[in-house]
Amino acid sequence: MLKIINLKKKLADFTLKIDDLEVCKNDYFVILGSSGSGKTTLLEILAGFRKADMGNIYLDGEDITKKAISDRKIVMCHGKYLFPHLSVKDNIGIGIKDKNIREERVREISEMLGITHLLNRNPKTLSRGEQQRVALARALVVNPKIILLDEPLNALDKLTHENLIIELKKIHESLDSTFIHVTHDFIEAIALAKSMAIIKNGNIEQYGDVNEIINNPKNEFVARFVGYKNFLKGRIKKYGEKYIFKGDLDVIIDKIKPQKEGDAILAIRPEDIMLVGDGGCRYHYNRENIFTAEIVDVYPLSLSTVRAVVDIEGTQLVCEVIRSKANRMNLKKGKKVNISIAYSVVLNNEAKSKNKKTNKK
Amino acid sequence: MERRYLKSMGLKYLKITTKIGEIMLKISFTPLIVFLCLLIFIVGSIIGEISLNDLINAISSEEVRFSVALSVKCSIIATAIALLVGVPSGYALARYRFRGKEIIDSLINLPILLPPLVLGFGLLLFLGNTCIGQFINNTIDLIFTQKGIILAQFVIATPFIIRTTRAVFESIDVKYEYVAQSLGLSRSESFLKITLPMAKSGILAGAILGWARAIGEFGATLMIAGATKMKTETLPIAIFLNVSIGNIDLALAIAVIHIAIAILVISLMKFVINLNGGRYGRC
Repeated sequence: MLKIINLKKKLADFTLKIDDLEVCKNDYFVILGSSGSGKTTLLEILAGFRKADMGNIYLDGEDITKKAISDRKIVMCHGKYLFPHLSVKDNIGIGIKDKNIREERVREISEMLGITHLLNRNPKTLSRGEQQRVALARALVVNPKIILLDEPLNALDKLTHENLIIELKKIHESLDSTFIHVTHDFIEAIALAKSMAIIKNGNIEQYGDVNEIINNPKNEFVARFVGYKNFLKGRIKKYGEKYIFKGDLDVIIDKIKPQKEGDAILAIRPEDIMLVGDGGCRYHYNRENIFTAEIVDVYPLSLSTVRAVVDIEGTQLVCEVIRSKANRMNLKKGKKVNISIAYSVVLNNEAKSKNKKTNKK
Repeated sequence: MERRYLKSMGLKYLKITTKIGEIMLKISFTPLIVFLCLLIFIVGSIIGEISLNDLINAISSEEVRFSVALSVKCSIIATAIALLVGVPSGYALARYRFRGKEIIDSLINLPILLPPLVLGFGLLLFLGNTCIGQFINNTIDLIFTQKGIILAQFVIATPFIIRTTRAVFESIDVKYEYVAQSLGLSRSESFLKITLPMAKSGILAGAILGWARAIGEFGATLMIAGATKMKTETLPIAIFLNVSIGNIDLALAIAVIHIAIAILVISLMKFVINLNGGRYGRC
């Protein structure tokens, strides 16, 4: 549906460079990146707010690179840019020229988003969450092909944040619009995205299906962004049928997927390290990769989870346990436990070397 | 011991900062009060010199009524034309990047920096001595006419309106316009329906400021339109003419009318600025 080819835009401190990016119809595409990575610039180029130095953008096969903003059928949705001199109702209806249709469409969309009670208010008097809903209504009213959301859930209280995530998901499922959502929040991204792109210094590091990115990050940067906390250095060696990672720890890695022998980084998510020590679940489906470790630090992460830092002969790993299990196991500093690494990912060696180059820069 | 030392140091620091605060208060307030007194003396010396009777007599005199009507008429027309020129110019300077932008901006500010008399002299030379100027003057008849007053007031008021509107448009994020366009509005629609209404109060403040400059304009008007009684006699010209022939009472009455207009303008400005929550207060 949307295809970006060889897009380049020089900015003050870096160049946004996208060789190839494709967003499918009806997708919920999340662009994940830290502040200043170029994700908002990319959205602005898609919307036509900025001109690209080179490259092409195709929407349904048509080259829209030089098309006027008003002819693109791509709408930027941002609660910050509600028109302050117009009421909520006029804000939502501004994109519809026919007065007769306007009234009906505004009512229809407002009912869908539950904002009918706000219609006569001034946007300045709304909360941030309400402003976002109004901005979304304003975008939906004109039936665009793509809705661009620039950090729509930023600076919201936790409850509104959660509610809006659920609402956004529902709205997207009930419509046939494509959403492109920019954020720096990984949790927000995995809650909403069907597909995802990770952007760093103006380059797309990896893009594709969310689960594919989470389970197979291309490099250390992507891995860190999608929640991997433990990175072990070493070499991969093949022993018979099995591939073994020999380094900070010796870990037997996935034998289904063929691996290259040589230097590698092994990435492990905190949730994929199981504590199988005293009082815990003694059985683990994967009898391999069980280590004895000493707890170095324990601290609560949320109401339901606890994070523990464990030490295995000088190698420290971060793992996460549900609070009830942590209480049952009586986790505390100095306690010896058994841990099992249930899932790990070998990061691409080429990507690793490429990463090193960019780091040096 | 250490704690007591720190405490004593803290107290000393507090004493010093309080003393500095007092000095700063005195330094900043003394000139303010001195200048305020000067202004009160100036206004007071005009108002104090005139009796209510003289004022009523002056207002009912044909000459004063003529000059008030002429000043108001010319200044309103001049401000309207200045708005037609100033708002698009302010928008262009705020929104577009082009070569020589800052030089153009400096040139536009020239009428603010130059003495109005010099500006008027220049205009007179332009209209009288150059081909283009002569052509314009032959077509519209500007020298020593009321149209000349409008021209002089327009030249003086326009830079103020450009400056104010530029600042207002710069304070409005261009993304408002882009978002409106992405919702299907054309460029002109996004300007007329979004940016212009958002800038309304700021433009109004600029217009009031420009109008105040126009109505009080003297030097340039004197050069182009001359000081002909009951013909090109605006309020400042009327003061000048009456003082020069020794008719001080009438000159005083006109000065009081001017002060009243100035107070009205300040009140209007405050009202407009308050409408906008003080946003354009420093334009």
